[in-house]
Amino acid sequence: MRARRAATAYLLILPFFAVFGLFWAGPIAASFLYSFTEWRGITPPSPVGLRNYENLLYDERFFTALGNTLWMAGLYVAIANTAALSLALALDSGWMRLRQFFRTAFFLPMTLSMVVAAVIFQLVYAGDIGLLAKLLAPLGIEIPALLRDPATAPYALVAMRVWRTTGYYAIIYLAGLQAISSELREAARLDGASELNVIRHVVLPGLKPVALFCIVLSTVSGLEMFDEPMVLTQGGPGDSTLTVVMFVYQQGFQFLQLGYAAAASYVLTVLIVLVSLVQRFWLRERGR
Amino acid sequence: MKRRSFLAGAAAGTVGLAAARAPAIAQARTTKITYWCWSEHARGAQAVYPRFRERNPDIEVEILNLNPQEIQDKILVAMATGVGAPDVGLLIESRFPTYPPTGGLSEVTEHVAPREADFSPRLRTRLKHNNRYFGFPYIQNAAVMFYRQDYFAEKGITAPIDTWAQWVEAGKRVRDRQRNIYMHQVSPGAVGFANLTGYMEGAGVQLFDEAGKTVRQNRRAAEVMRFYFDLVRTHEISLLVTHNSPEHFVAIREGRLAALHSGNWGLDRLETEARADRGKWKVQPFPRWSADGPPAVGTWGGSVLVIPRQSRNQAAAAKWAQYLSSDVDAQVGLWQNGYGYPTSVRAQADARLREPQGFLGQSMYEASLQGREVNYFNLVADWPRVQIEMGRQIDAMFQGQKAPEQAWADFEAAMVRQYG
Repeated sequence: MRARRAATAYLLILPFFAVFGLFWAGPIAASFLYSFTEWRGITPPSPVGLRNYENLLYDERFFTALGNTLWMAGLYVAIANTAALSLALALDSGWMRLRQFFRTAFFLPMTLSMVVAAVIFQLVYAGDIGLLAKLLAPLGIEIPALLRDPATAPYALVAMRVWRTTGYYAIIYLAGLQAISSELREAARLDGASELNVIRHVVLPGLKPVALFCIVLSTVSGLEMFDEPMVLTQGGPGDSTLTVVMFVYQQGFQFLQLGYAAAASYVLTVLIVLVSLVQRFWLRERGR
Repeated sequence: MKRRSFLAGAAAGTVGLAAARAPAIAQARTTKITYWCWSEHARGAQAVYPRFRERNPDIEVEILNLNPQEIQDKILVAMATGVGAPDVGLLIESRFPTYPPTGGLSEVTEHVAPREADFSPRLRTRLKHNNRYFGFPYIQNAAVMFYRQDYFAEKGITAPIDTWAQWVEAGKRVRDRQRNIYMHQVSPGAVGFANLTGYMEGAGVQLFDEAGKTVRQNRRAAEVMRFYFDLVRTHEISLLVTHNSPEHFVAIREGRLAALHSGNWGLDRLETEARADRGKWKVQPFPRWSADGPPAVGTWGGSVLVIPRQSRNQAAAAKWAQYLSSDVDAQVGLWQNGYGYPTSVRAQADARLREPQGFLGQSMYEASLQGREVNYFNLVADWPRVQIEMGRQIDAMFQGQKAPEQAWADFEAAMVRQYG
């Protein structure tokens, strides 16, 4: 009976693993092998050993991309999670009216296609004809074309991503908040805890698993940033928004160096795994 | 049921089934092919398709309008994976040399070689790999300058403006800081290089020799780079904004640009983005570099038709590509419906090319293309690498991180490292 129940459970999860194996694990393994070859896509790959990885070590643009990716992802994770948590706390509070409306409104950017969002933001950021410039002009503030200045372009991309995804993470945080017992919060208040202390000592510890999930998810998504630079800046100006995935795209699909691109993507994969592990251990340690 | 009535019923059923199958069989004889192209080319193809269908009732073409960059990448991916390629695809001419060495394109020598006399020597070289053709000539574009006649008239400027020096002087008169009006627009980044190409080719500059080696100590190229920089930073007559971006279109719509440098297909963009200014826009040849120099201009885009090897309808695909490439009416139709300048010499001589365009109220061919010699770069296989490297230098130059001469020197050094 027990074995039969276990078999049913495995049978139910089998479709996922079958599809994952076929369309994900296979290509992942294949691209690992391709990372040791020189391959232009159609002609057969020729093995080159570790040469692609060695070349990466001396590739200045790869390190630029790596640096950009790390700091932009870090900034994105910090802002997106802080904003999402604040939003979730506001949506969960007793004084908030029209909660349903706000939940939908904040989630809406996530449903927009990336291209539509990019066109909107091109016009928001555009020099003196941009929405931002026009809004700030009456205050006497002049802003440059944000996407054309290497000092501002990365921030502009991060801001756009935060705008698109904060609502999504806020919904997850909200679900976590609603799972925290209201009696626990009430008890803390009765014991004389201020609202800030309730959040600090009751709500936030209770949200730790959800926070871990959101932080890891947003980190992975931040490290894989591609859509924004691809559509808005093509990695410029002057490589200031060149991310690792953008670098991989250029090497693979524009220069047809697919083996080299595979090697770069594996470095990114290792990086993502390492960062995720560090985050996991860090949050677990702090939870103790 | 009696035996006789059963047989009669069965016979009637068989006849009925056969009749029902007849159209299906006729339909099965129709070969359906897919054609990937973009915006004005899709519109041009739709316009000339009925004539093709009349001549080839057995071939149905599905014309798909995709993003141009997306097509280049998707065809590569399709060629690599072996699935999903179109039967006929349109490639940006500067990207084309990357494709034949991959082995993913069908050789089309038997279709193209017999009509070599009908297109330019440049294309004879560009479309070949190992002395065999892998692409059909389609359209080529030359750099032209559209301008607002009303803005010029307001400042007493008479067009056409012959040289770049005169253009700069006229630009200083047109530039209006109060009304935020610029003479024309210049692009940063890799897009900026696509625009700069028209300037450099017009000046007779080559980045690579015919063997694909970098031209060293390229003083003329550095001078053109300096000129491009001066338009924005020294003379302050040009708005720095990415070509064909929403911001650029808004600048056109709001009347902030007195001119538009572009290929001849730019008229298609103007018709969409500046509809309200119909009749105000005119066109002239791209200015030349000196009054006593040759009336030479550079290219501004150009595309090639290709047939991926994995197409299962090679014969039908070749017929469609050959039709778009060589049929005079089709080539003229592409000009009339998307302003792609024909590669076919016979089509170039067609009287319909000299007809005026309603939006301009003048013949674009006569006003901007006639009598101009078109110079062009020698391409190398990984052209996007060249574009990206040049884009980085253009950005650094406009950001004030380096002088134009230094930006050129750094670009040249990077090209020497890559191509020798």
